[in-house]
Amino acid sequence: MTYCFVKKRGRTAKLLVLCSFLFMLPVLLQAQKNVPIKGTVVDEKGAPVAQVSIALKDSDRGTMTDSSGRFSIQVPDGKGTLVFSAVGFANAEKVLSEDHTVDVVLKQALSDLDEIVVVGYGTQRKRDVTGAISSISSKQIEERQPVNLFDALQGQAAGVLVVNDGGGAPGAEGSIQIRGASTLNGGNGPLYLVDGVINPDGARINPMDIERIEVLKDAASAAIYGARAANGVIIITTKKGKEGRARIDLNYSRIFGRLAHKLPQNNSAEVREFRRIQSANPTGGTGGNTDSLNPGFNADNDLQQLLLGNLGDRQQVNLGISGGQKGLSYYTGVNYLNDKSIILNSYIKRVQVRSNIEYQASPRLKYVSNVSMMYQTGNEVPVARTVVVAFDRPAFSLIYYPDGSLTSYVGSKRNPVANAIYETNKTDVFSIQFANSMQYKITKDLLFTTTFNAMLDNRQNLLFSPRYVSANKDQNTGANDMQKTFSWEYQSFFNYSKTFNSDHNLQAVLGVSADKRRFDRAHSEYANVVSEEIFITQPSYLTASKTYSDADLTAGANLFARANYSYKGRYTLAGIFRRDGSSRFGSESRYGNFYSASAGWRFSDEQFMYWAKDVLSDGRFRIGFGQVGNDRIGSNDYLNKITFNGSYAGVGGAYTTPTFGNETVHWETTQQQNAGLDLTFFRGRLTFTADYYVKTTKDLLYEKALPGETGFDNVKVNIGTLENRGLEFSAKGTPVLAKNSKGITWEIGGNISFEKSIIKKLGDGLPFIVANKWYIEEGGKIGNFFGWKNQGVYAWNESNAYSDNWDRLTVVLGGDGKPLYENGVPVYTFNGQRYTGAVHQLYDPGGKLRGGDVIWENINKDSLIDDRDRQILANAQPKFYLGILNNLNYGQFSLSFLVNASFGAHVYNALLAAQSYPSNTGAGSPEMVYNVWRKQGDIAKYPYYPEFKNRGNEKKDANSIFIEDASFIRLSSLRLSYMFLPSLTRKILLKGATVYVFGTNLLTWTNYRGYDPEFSATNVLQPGYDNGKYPKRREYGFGINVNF
Amino acid sequence: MKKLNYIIIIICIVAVGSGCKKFLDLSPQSEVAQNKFYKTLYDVNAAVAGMYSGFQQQMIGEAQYKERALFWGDYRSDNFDRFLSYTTITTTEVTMNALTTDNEFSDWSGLYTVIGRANANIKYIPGAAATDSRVTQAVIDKALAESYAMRAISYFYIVRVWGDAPIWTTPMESLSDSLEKPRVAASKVIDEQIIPDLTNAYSLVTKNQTASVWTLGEGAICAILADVYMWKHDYANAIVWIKNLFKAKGPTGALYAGVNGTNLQPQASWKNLFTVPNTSIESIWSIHWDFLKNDCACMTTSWTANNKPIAMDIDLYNNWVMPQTVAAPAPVDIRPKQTIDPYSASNDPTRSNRDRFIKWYASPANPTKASTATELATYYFKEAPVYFPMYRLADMYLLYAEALNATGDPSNALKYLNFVRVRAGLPAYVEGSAPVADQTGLADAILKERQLELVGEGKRWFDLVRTGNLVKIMDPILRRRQIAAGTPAGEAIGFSDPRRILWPVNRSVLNANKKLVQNPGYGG
Repeated sequence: MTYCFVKKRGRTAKLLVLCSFLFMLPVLLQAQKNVPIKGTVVDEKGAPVAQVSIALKDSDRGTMTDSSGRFSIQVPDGKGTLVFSAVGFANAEKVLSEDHTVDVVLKQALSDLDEIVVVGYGTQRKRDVTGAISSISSKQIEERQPVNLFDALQGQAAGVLVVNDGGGAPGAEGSIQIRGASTLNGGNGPLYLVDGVINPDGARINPMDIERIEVLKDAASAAIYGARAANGVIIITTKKGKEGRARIDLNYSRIFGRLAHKLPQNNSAEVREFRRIQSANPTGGTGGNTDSLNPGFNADNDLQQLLLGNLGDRQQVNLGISGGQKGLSYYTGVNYLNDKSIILNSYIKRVQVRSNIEYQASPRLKYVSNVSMMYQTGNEVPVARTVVVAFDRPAFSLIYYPDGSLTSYVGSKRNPVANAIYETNKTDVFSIQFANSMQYKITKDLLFTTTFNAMLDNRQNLLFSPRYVSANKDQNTGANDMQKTFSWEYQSFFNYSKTFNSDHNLQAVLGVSADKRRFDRAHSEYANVVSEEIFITQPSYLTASKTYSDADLTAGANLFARANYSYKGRYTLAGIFRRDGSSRFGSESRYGNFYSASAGWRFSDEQFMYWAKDVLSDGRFRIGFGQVGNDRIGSNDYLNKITFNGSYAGVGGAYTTPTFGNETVHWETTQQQNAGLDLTFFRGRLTFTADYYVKTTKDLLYEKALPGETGFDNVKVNIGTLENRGLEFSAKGTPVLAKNSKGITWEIGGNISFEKSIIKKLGDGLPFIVANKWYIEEGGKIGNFFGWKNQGVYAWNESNAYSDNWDRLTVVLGGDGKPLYENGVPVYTFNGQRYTGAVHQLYDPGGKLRGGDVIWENINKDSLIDDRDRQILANAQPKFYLGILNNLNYGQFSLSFLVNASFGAHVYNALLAAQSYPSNTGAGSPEMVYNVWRKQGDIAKYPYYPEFKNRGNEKKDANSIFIEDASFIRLSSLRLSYMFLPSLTRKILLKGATVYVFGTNLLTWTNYRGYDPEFSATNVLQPGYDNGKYPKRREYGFGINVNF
Repeated sequence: MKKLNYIIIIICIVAVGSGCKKFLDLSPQSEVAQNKFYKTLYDVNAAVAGMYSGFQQQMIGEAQYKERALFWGDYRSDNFDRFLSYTTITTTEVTMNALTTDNEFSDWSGLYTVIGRANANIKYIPGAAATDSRVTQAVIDKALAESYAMRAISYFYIVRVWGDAPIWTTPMESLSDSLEKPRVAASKVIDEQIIPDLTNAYSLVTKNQTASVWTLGEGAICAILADVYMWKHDYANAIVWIKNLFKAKGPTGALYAGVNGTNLQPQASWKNLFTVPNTSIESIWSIHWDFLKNDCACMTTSWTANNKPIAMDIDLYNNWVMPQTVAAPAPVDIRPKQTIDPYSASNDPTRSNRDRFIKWYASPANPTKASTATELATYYFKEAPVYFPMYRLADMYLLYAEALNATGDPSNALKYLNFVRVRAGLPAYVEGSAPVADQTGLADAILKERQLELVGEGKRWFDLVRTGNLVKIMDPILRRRQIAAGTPAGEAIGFSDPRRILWPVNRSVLNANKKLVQNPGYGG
């Protein structure tokens, strides 16, 4: 079948309006005789419980408690049963009596099986879910005091690898990878849905607005989002208002941060020593400029301290106002963030507003409107101009002139302090999104939802580098970049839910959606403007060759259906079908069909398990299979295109793009099999979940290199297979439970994920090297570093000696401490025995290796160290990672802390490599100063410096000496809070107040010698390369929450 | 009531769900589908410019230090050496004859990109006549002549740098074509591809017209043909095409004529050849550059913001440039001081500016002192274009001399050699006396003159290979460099493997085409 959206947007809009009017018709025909029922809901401690949903059994009527736990509901004739349910509490039922008042005490539920889980285009009870879904509640989020979603999610769910860059650059984000990389092409980030609306990324969501997060990990559950769900789905539900008096939540927090740790750097004396090492005569006079009269070379600056040693200061204010009246509820969240980084002149300021309004126009018709706006402005000092320069400029170079003004270049190294202060790199982001949704209850069992949402994202970056920081203080440059993205999406779907004979429950979804996205960019650059007060591009100073604009347009159209069947909650079955169309593919291969099926069996409900009921309260086995797709290639890669580029002798050029158009390129499909086990012990005191999955991506969208002789560089093809296998465990328990309000409660939750990803098949079976560092081959893993294995440095010229079998021989030293010669040949031993056989020596294409040269592992056992001696040195992906979350409650105090850890990953410490091998005016590293080979006989780590470019001694980016273990254990957050007793706060007209102190990135155990072993990679094929990242800070802060 | 609801729903779903198929049919927003191109005169002109632009980016570089014309034609020779302080693995490999298959300049794909554009032009440009009457036969012939000649010069580079090469004569149109083609013998590429393309171009080009120095006109086609025949050592045909060149008109409208020294750019304005080649009677084909459109022409031998990994070889610098810095040098040679800055800031020869090539700029030659910073800044800056000469008459005079000498006409050979020498300010060689007393001596003198006249113009390596002098000349130079790099004198290997005259084929090129075979002498 072919389906699609209407041709003109105008027509669509008219249709929508028409449809909505038609829906309202029956509303006007409704009429009821109602009796008001009122009451209060409190918990076991007597505190009112807000946000309890109250439903009249066997009807579609319902309401919520307000912040004082009060509610009111209209019940026909005042008869029936009310069902009370709330997150974290066991359900309660009350049969209505004559007095029309109901007061209920809800019991804390330890089991979360009755939680309502958002599964995409609908909800399910957790006990009925057959897929692998992790849920995170607002409580878990708030305990972390997160700045962004990455903070909020890290360590919280098994199978979700969150690499958090937060705490580094202001506004830095990170990356989320669910169950390993599933594609070689484009992003491996999940799909984000905020209140059912697709969002480009999760970074812009204020975590304080989040009510709950669901992570759909397996295809059986994610398949409902088909094409875009290849890397999993993160569903975010934001807070809604509840009927009742307005509730105001105010939260203020302030955090101070310092550079978590400093890296070793050469001081002035060490730089001079380094100069000596650099020169061919390492035993000669002290190197470097030691002119005692030249102040330019006689400072001793700690650049790391000057540049990165500032006090980070983050202030955050959150204001949430929510409430509602009959049929109307609202929630508005305002967030203000002012984050000053530890790096000079580096900051971000952000204001976010989200407004959710629900209007129950009639018992059948509900209208929901979500509007969110964000404005963000910030200045970022690029790493290339801070961290990298701070390690490259010698400590003895002057930073300030005696008159206090900043120096510029000294010894051809720029002054990073001057650059940080005088340069501008300002980004303003403005984004607005609105979503309008209408829900119409056609019958008791059938709900129709239609949603239209649109988003505008506007981003402007201003770059300016004034004359002051140029080499001769005479040149300035600037750039002005504007990006605009506008997208809209339309969705319409039916939800059907019915219980037959009280044992059979059927839920179904059927719907369509369509979306379109347009991106525009205008980029201009200029140079040598007259005034440095303004940052605009003027025609007289335009750098035409770097000025351009760009545009992109994509669209998608989709059909989806899902059915869930449950028999007594004991047997559950689910199936999903999705058909996706994408404009990225040619007309022949535009559509892809994706299926999924899953089943659950609650074996603890079977009679033969009744004996275990006392221990095993609930036990369930899940199994699922599903498919999802991926279309992330260029917008029109199926076409051969002409690009207008280049210019020759005054005529603009045109030629075909380097990517050959492939009409047959089609959907990449990820298939996933998942088996899971959910166990609940001791009525919820302990829960345990295990999942095993096999995730196979077929028809990998892959940029295949074409033979250059064709005139093209590459073509997008579907080729190859990638497989991820993984095992995830998560457990949650309450080892200590308070007997009364004075006791201690201790909750502990943890999760651990093992992942192994293998490239099963590559298109033509040929391995390839990515960016000269990573090796991609069949049977190999993504992130394999490729290069030469460093085995030390030859101490003597004579040390380059090998047996017939290429085993290294040991040089025998004479009485003078020098190699012993007999009959004009050096004496060697092998395995402690005198060696008398033929002595072989190793060569580089540039000559024979000698004392002070690096010893490389001779893989192919010939006399030459060349390309064929490269090997896989290490892998950049963690073997397993885990998170452990603890909550301790004692009276009004609560303490929570999160430990997360990652093991088995490796990082190429390119910053240390660059620091150790700078240009001849660079600062060098202490590592090099103290470990370099200087003369015959030295046992050293690094080769003779003046020869590092000869005989392959450097092996840039492929030298195993710079590969380090990036395993770490981190105490990533800790929070201690005190909630004032309600009796106390009421006296000052507050409903509640909490004060807390907290810290993030408090302790890290790692052997990694760079700033931090954890950082995200922009390209999935190029992980773990640390060429200087924004260092993270250690943070301590305090905050206060008050509710009115 | 319920019925009404269902009807409404069905209406809505049908309305929304049917619609058009076109919704997903979106055309590219920043490019144009190929089937909508090659329709008008504007398209034809842009396609031809796109082809030249590709060649320009290959030769001068799409970014700083990518001037392949020199990496292939000059930097491996005795003209240049690595600048030790700033050398990279790439430049060390090139200057130490230690090329590996990872060297970025061992990738021929860029030239094949130019060939692909020429192939597309040859196939599609004639079709544009059907949709635009301004695309006349003359327009088509000119575009085709340039495309054929461009294809030929690109293959000529490939053959000279790598030897055997796959041949593509049509644009790639389908993934089902056989995309992996084996290498064809170099001699066959020359005889069956390069020479027919050039003769074809010559037959299409309008003769005896004032030609643009930036494009491949009559003169350029003749010059390339002569160069190709010289490479084949087919001197008779080389002479034929040099004589055809003399019948063509240069960019000023004057015939190249080729009768005497005055057909060359005068001595006093020798620099004009590089700074304003379009005004020079000597120019045949130079590559255009426009800072506004093409950005900085940041070759290692031109202006650059960064330190240079390549500098003039110390022997050439000491033997040719430094003697000209004394008050009254004997003999005078006007070229070195206009080629490279012979003075350091402090006039200290040990702190020389061997990396500061000023050949491309109009800066004056100062007789006894370094150019001032202001003076340099006036001429030597980022925005200044580099008009790289591909062929010029002095080059052809010397090739002519080489051909005449090889075919037993030493007196005419000497005549053409002397035209170039005298223009440089040097005394003419006397026939029959040293060093031009015999055929070998004359050949060596011509080769030497080519080195000095054309230094930095991407000719020296090919000259050494063509004349068979490569190993002989490079061996001691490489030995010297190896020793300087720390190799004990007894272990310096010099040029080592003579098969390494050809470049290796880049590993990524080999990976992408399994039918290719690596050049002997290079592992992996």
